[in-house]
Amino acid sequence: MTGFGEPEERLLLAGDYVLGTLPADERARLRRELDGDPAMRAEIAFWEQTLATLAAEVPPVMPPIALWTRIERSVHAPGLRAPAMPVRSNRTEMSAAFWKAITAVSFLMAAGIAFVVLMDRTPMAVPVAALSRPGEPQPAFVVETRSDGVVQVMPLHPGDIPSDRDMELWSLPAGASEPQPLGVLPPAGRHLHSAMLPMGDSKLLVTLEPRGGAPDGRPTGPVLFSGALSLPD
Amino acid sequence: MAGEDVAALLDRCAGGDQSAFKRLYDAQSPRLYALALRLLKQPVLAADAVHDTFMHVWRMHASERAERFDPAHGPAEAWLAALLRARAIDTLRRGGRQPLEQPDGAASAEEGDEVLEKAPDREVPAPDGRFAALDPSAFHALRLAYLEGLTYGELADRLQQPLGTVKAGVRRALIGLKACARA
Repeated sequence: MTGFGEPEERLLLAGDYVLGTLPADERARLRRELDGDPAMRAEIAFWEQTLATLAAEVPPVMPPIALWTRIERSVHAPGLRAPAMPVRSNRTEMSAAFWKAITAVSFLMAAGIAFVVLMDRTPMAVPVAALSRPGEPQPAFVVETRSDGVVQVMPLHPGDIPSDRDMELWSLPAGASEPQPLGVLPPAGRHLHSAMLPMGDSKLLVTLEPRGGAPDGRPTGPVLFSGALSLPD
Repeated sequence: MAGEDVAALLDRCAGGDQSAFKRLYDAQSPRLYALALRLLKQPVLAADAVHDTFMHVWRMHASERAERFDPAHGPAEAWLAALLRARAIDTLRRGGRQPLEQPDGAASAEEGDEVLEKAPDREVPAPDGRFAALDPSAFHALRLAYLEGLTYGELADRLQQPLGTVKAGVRRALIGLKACARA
């Protein structure tokens, strides 16, 4: 696929981009080049508006109440100052000291309990990786796979980040030279599709990026946390 | 639907108005969540996409970098839907798609059929507006690509048509829509 030269090519490329039919690498490439191409941005805006009427046929569905709770937490606490609620209340690896630290933060408890109750109703989750800073025993995040194909990246002790930054998650399969972006990782955690994680041995990395994540699909900031992942082929 | 103007709400959010942000969420999240469910199937992934979309909206007030709503381009609802779809498509393209979909949505039964039930492909609503000028098969392919976030390969499988035919159909639709817009 070559550039944005001819009007019809541009129209089709922008249309494909908005529809989502471009493969991942072309999608990323187009996005990188958008900054310098206002005509392309305008074309994309046209398609976003024109195609949006197709969405009208989808009946609304109330999102879970816990979703607003999550959004509120993300809005008010861009970098959490205290340990976040772990997913389960019966984790054997949690030390007594850790639990004392959590019970001291009653506000977060109140917000976190709704989150925990929601998570307790979900399919069985198996921890597959812990993301931590070298030298720190306490993981910042734990990665769990679920029987329904969802992977949850749950915060345990994510710590502070500056308010003009985001954390971003990456996977680096064994032998690969470039990490693959998995998306911005809010302090409240996120979910992934299991197909987004590499089979076999890999590393998961969390880097510090500008707000919104690394603009070019390549890490620009320091690695905050990492962990080994090994999924059966 | 009566209610606050979404563009006005976005404007207030851009000024850091938290109450407007909540009102925007109440008004728009059901539409956006439904769209995300249709694309991503899994409720938790759909929730993530909605979360990320609203975080983008909230950050408009704090960041020069966040893409802002421009009323000149069209309705605010469409801009939000586009934000949501971009997030969802990113997730889909990074992870590929789970091979679980049956047209009757049976694969996600454990989450509640009523949430993920969708019209079988046969019951396509009649196209209106600009879409009425398109030939039915091109419209159908376009609509499926948009609502389900399918690649051309997946679209070809779904429609049981050759890849070239499907691509040509969608492109015909795009060209037709653009021509309609210019007219």
